[in-house]
Amino acid sequence: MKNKIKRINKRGAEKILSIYWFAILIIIAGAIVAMVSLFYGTPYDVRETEANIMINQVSDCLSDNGKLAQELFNETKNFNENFNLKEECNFVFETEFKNERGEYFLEVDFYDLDNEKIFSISEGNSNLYADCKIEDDKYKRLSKCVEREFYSLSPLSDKNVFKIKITSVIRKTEKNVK
Amino acid sequence: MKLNKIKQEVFSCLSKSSNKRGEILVENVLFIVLNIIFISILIFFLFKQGSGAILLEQTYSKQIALMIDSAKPVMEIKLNMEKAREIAEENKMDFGEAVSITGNVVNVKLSQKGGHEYSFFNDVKVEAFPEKNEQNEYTGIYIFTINKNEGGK
Repeated sequence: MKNKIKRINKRGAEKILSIYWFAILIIIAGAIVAMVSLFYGTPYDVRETEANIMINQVSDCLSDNGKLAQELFNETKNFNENFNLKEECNFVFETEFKNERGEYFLEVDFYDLDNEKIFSISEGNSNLYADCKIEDDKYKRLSKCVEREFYSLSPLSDKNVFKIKITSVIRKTEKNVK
Repeated sequence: MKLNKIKQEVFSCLSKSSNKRGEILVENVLFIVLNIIFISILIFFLFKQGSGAILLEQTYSKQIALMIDSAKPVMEIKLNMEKAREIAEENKMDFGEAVSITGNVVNVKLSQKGGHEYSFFNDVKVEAFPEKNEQNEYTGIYIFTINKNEGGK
């Protein structure tokens, strides 16, 4: 009689154990599905790469063999105020699809060796520049800002050296951030 | 008479115990089979998620846009899109129409309902077409030609 009860208890315990086992499996499956969906549901953020490519294009267009482009200077050997960054560097910032307006901002600052800003040119949606100044993590995802600098000689005189700081800002939040 | 009774009892005891053993075996086998089915479904789900049309559309459209951004006229770029070809064929889509470039927007479409578009900033004229072999079959490679945008915006 005792043995019979023991056997029944054992089988009952096994059944309960297998129910728990399946409950655990379902919880694990749910967690994996949630994690995978979250991982693959988040779009790839390529804005930093894009901003870096843009800076490379700008630096290639402004400086050749370590010397600034002639077009940057006018007849009076000063910086050309009418220099069109978008046209000279072959950029197109307008897109014809789905509410995409003013997704880019580009600024190039020229400094002398005393670190004094002597000239600046910019192109695109200047409102985006404000996003770069936000330090709060909650709003950091609005736009991606990349800043890089390089040195170059003046094409007019080898004695003039400039520090060129390029700031590239890309929004495209809808396509890159969830 | 008695002997027969004893024989019957022994036989019934034996058959009962053999049934019990059978039950245990069936339970265990069922448990293992269910576990295997569960793990298989999970692995299938993971693989399906990793190579889904939506994910590939996004990946390829962004990759192509970045590739065009860093290109200079005159260039010809070949991109291996073998995975995209497989998915397009699975979804009964023509691989030749998987990539389209309108203005400065790249659109990759690998399923009937899907499609992902991404814009590029390089002001160039881009043409995209799939490579074919001698048997007129798609090789899975897409060719992009980058030229100067004569019209210019």
